[in-house]
Amino acid sequence: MAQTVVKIDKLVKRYKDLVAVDHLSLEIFEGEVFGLLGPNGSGKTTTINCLLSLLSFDKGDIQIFGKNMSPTAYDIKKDIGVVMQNVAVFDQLTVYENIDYFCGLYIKDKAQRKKAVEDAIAFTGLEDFVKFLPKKLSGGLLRRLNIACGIAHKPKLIIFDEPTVAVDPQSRNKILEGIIELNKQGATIIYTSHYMEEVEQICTRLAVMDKGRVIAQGTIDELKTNVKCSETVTVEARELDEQTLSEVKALEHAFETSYESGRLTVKYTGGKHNVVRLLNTLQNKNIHIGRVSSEQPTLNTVFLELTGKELRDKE
Amino acid sequence: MLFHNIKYNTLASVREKSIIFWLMLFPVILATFFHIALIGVYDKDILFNTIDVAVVEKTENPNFKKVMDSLSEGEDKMFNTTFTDEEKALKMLDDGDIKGIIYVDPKLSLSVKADGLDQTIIKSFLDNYSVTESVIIENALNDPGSIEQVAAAFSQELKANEQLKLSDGNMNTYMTYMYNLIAMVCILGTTVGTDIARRNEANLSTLGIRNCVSPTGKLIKNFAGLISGCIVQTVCTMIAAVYIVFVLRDDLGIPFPMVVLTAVVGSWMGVAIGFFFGTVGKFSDGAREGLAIAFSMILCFLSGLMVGDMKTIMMEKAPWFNNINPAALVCDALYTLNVDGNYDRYIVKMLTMAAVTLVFTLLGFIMTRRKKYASI
Repeated sequence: MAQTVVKIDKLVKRYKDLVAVDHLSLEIFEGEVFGLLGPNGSGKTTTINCLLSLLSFDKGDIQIFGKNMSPTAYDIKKDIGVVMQNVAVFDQLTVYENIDYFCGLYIKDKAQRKKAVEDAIAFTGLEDFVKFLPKKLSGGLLRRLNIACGIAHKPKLIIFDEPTVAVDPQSRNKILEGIIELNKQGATIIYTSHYMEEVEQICTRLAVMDKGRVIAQGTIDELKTNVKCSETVTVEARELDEQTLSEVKALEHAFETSYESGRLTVKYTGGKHNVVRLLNTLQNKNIHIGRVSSEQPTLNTVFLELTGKELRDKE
Repeated sequence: MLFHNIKYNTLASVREKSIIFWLMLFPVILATFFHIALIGVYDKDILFNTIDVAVVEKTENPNFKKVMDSLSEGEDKMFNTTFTDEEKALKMLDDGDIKGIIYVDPKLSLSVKADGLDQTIIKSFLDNYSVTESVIIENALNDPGSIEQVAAAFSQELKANEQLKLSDGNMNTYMTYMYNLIAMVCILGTTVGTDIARRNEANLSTLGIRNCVSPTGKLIKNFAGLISGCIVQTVCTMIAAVYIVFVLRDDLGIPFPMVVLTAVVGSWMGVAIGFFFGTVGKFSDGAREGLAIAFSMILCFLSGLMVGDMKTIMMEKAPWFNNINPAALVCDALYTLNVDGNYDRYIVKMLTMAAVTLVFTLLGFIMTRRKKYASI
C-alpha cells in the first residue's frame, strides 16, 4: 500500500462565528493527484493554508510525510512546493531571477540550484523569456512563471491552489498537462479547484467540499456510482399524452420523469439498455422522435445530489 | 542563504519605481529647487556683493579718496568706485549702473535713487567715516599727542565688533533646509522598511505566502531584508548628499565623511521605522505605502522641512518631541556638527538615533515573530 503523505485529522478552523473548516479529515497517499473540489467559499484554500501552517486552527492534527506540520518544520517544508491562485513573484526581478530566488530558499548549493532553475525553465517552456520582467509576460506565461517558482526545487508534494483561475483554455490545458507530468515524475499532487472538468481530467482521487466539510471522497468512479442517478436520458418528442407518460414512469430503474417544451427527461437509478427500452415504448405509441441523448453522471451531478445545489455558479 | 536573500532583495528594491522616484529623484529635484529658490536669494540679498558707486568731488579730500581707493581694490573689495563729474554720475544713477553718488563738498553726502541693502551700506559707511574722520581731525588739532590713543581706541572698537566663528562650518541659514532634505531622504526609508515586512509576511502579500512556506526561517529573511534595505537607503541618501555637495556645490559646513556617517545611521533609522510600520495592522499595499510616506512627511514638516520656523515652534511647544523626532534628529545632528565645533551634542543625537533604530527593529521582530496567522 502507498505511503501516506498527508494526514489531516478532524481539522476545525473558525473565523469568529463562521466555521470555515468543520472537522475535516483527509488522507492523501504517495503518487496521487488528489483533488479538493468545492464551490468558492467551501474552505479549500483555508484547508491548504492550515496544511501549510500559515493559518492557526482551532482543533485537529496535521501530519505531512509522517511528521507533525508546524511553521518551523523546515525539514518538511523543503519537500513541499506551492503554486498559489494569485501569481506570487517579484515584479522587479526577471523570470530567471525570480525562479532562482525562490529556488534559493530551498537549495543552498549553487550548482545544484542552477540545474534546478534551468530544469524548471525548460519544464514550463520559459526559455525564451528568461530576461523578461513579469509585467512583459502574457497571463498564461505569468502563470507558468508562478508554477516554475513553486516547483523548481523538485518537491515531493506539490500543492496547486486553483492555478487555472482566469487562464485561457490553451494555457489551462498546458498547466494541466504539466501537472500530470510532474505526477509522472514522482510528485504527489494536491489540486484544489471549483472546475469539475479539470478535477475529472487529472485527479486520481478527490474530496468534495461544501461549507467547510468533506461531503464525499473517493475515486471519481466511486463517487459517481454512489449517486442515485446513474443515467439521464433526454428525448425530443411531441404531444405525449398522460398514458404514455405513465408507461415511461413505469419503466424499470426510472425514478424521475419530466416533460417540458417537447423534451422528455428520464433519470435512472441503474440498469442497462435504458435508452432502447424508452425509445421502444415511445415507438409503440407512434410518437415522432427527434434528438436523443444519454448522459452519465458528472461530478456536478454528485455535488447537486449531495448538496441540492450546482457546484459552480452559472457563468 | 543570507547573501542570496540580500542580493535579490536589494535588486528588487533598486528596481522599484516608487523607491527610484521618492528616494532618488524627488530629493534631487527638491535639492535643486532649494538651491535655486533659497541659496540664490541668499547670495543675492544676504551675501555681501561689491557695490558700484560714483564719487563727485566738488571739493578735494585726499584722505577720503585714499580710503575709497583702498576699498575698491582686491578680490573682496567693497566698492567699485568711479570718480566723475555730477552730470555723468547722475546719468549712471539713472541707468542703474551705480547704487549711489557720494558728494564731497567738503561734507560727505549721498544721493540714491532707491532704497535697498546696498544703499544702506553706503550710507552707514559714510556716517562711520564722517564720525571717525571728525574725531581724528579734532584730536589732531587740539591734542596731537593723543592721536595714537584715539587710533588704538578705534581699533579696539573694531575688534569688539569683529564676527567670531564658532567652528569652521558654513553658518548659512539656508543650509538647514539642506540638512532637512537629507533628513527627509533618511526618513523616507520607511517605504523601504515597509516593503521588507510586506515581502515576508503571509498576511500582507502573496509574495509573503510564498516566502513563508519556504524552509528559510523568517528571522533570516527579515534580517536579510533589513540589511538590503539599509544598503539601498544609504545609497539613496548618499545620492542626495553627493548631489548637494558635489553637483550643486553647496557647502554643508561639515566634512563630507561626517555627512556620510550621519546619513548612514539616519537611513537605518528610517528603514527600521518602516519595518515596524509594515508589521502593524492590516492595510492594503498602497495604503501602507501611503501611510509610510505620510508619516515621514509629517515628521519632516515638524522638523522644519516645509516651514523654517516650525523647528523653533516645536522646540518651544514640545521640546521632548523634537528630541525624539527622527527627522529632527538627523537634521540636528548635522546642524550641531556645523555650529558647535565639538562632538558632544552630535554624539547625543547619534546615540538617540541608534536607540530609535534599535527599538523599532526589535519591535518589528517581535511583531513578526508570530508563526501562524489568524487569517490571510
